[in-house]
Amino acid sequence: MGNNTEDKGLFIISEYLDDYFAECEEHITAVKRHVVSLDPSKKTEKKIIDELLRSFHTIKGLSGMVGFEEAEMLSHSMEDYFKAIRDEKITLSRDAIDNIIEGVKKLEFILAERKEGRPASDIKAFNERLKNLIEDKKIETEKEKKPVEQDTAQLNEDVLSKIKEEIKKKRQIWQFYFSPSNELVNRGINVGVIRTRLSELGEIIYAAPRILEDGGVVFEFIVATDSDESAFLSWRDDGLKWKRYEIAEKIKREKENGGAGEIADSDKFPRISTTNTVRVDLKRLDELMEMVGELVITKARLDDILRGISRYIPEQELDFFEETHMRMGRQLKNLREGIMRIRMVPIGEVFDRMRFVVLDLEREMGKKIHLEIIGENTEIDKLVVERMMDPMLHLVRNAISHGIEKEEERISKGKSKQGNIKLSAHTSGDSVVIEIEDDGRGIDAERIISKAKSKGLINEDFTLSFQERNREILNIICSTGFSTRENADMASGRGLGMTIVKNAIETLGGSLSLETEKDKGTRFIINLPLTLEIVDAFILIAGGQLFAIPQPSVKEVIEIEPEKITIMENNELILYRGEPLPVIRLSRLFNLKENYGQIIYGIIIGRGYNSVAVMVEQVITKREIVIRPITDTLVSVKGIGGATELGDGKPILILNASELLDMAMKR
Amino acid sequence: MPDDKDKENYILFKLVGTTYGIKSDDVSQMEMVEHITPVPNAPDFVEGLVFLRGEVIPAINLRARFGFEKIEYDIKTRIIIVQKGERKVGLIVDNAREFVAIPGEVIKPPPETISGLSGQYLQGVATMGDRLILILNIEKVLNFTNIKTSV
Repeated sequence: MGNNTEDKGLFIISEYLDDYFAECEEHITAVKRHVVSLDPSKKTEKKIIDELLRSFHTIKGLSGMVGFEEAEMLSHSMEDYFKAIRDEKITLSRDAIDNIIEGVKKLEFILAERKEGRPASDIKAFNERLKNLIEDKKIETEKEKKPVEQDTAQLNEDVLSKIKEEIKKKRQIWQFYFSPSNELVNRGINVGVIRTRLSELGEIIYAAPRILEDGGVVFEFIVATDSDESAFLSWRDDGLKWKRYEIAEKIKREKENGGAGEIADSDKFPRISTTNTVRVDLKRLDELMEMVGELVITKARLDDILRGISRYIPEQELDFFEETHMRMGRQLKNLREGIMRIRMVPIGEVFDRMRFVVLDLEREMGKKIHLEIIGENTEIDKLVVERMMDPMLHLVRNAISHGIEKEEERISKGKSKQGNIKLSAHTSGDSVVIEIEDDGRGIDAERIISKAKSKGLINEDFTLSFQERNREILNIICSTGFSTRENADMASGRGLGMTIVKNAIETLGGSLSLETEKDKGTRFIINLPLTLEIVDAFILIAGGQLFAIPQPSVKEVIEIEPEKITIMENNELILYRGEPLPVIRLSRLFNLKENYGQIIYGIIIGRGYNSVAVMVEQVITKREIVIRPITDTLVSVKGIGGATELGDGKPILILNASELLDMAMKR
Repeated sequence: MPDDKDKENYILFKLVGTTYGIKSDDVSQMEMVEHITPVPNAPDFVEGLVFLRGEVIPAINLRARFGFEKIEYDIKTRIIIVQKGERKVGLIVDNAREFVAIPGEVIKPPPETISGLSGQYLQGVATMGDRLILILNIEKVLNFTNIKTSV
């Protein structure tokens, strides 16, 4: 099929190119999941090999369709390689798995290059090597007889129920098949044109390109329409074929193909279905979210107006008005949450990547790792998932390269030969907690602290509690240009890594903490907001200026009588639930004019011994705010996490509790 | 229009009696100064944040940036929003009214002997008749790093 790829490239419109990359990514994700489960010491289930084979087959077909020759070539060879494995011509040895991993990495790499609009790297050498390996085993490259893709894909429940619904509405359901050709393109007819025609005819319920075994492409559409066949009879000459959709037959066929059995299988090997998902550009969701954000602001403005005029409105009307107003508030909240849910994806997407990374690093560093994953179904904002990929990667690499000891060392310490790494995620209130834990040597606190002391990063005469020590270690390893390894190796990168990790997390409004103990291991705890954009926040006044602090980071708001404040050297303390609690004046942290009244408000942030009461002049109200990040270096100051606006066009600064805590401790 | 080939449009503004020019391509909007929220612990030439068309934008007092004394805002005070890549920053100036096309050949590199803070931020000096216009290098004006440090 290689020689006619160029012609097929003619049909590509950018919309399909986006789909192409998305689909390839999905297949590669699936491939990685399966590759990870390959084990030379056990007999691999044929089903897994078949799945892998099919994924490469699809990537090959798709790549041919978009005229991306390198990917087509490589996935072709990979497909053949798996065929040889399936036919037991090649044994699934450690070497074979290494070849597979290398192939997947190369394929992913050239896809990424293409996506970024760069020419793909040369993969010929690798491809030849793979081919020779297959040749050596004298594999017959006979073509498969039956096409891998049937004439119609198995339709999922959503599509089927949609079809049933349309039938109930007495609409006709038609299946269309469009076979593109050069001749048609010359006449200006491509799949885009056909799609437009069909959407004018009725509603397109389902659309998908399928690859025929000969390398050709057919686009299948299922359309619900009120028109009858006469409306599209003339399209016969435009490369279109059609038939009435038979629902009974379909359902029967699905059953025969083992409805129940299929489900059991997919349970075991979760596969991303490409048919029941709609791919939406995140930008569009952002736009939608922005609109909702504006609605929230408008509603807040309405609240203010209502408050102002309520006394002029007769009671009965006011009740009615307020009720409607409240209902609108609820609906707005639902709308917001609905959009948020669209943006949520399981964190498993990141974890799956880590499986592959672990496998790869095991090989590279000659360490045996057992990876445990917990809570991979925890959902989190798509953007957060994307942004967390690199930081997680870095932490996992660090854990393997620095944390986990070599086998002999582990044995001498009485540990299991295999290093253990645990990735876990769970939801906790309004945040998602991700933990990366290893049972390695732990971070050498003494070494780090003595190095930091010698560099003048911390005071010579520091004695630290366990918690303080952990916090200090984190601060030190996250500061720019700090690395205790003289020869930082490839996997763990240089001293900048942790700084970037911390920044990436904080940019997302999250925080990073650390627990480490010598020879026991290290645990990084990442706290991330579940959703971005909008939170409940307290609006307060300090130094005569309005600020907001997100409610999730506030433990409690208390009233403090000035005479109850005890002064101890440079510190101020109050008694809170029978325990001394340090207080810190926001006006002092921010060098603002103080103007405290008879009652001072204390906002308690932090946890346990790590808490502090932030003193402010007033806490006015609690309300929803739209968070707008502040990114410009001119205004990124510590303690401020973003800005919001309450409907009057005046920006209000949003406090960042964990930074305030940090400032309070450092003072 | 071949005559305009070497001309570029500039927004002119005044600061302490001197006329400055910014390439109009770099300017995204110009507004009267309304509410600015101060940002604590920011450098003193940073006036704070303004909220414009749904965006939160930092505002610089150009007088302070160039080492002059700040003055109270009046009806002539303007905030010029300049855009460089993804970045948008507001420059607060004494007044801004003119929009002119300046031919490339009248812009000369700034004299080496020019001193003071504002000298560092110049791209060139344009002579238009008997007027002297200092052309700003926006990148240099905006270039400031204030990294959040924790150690």
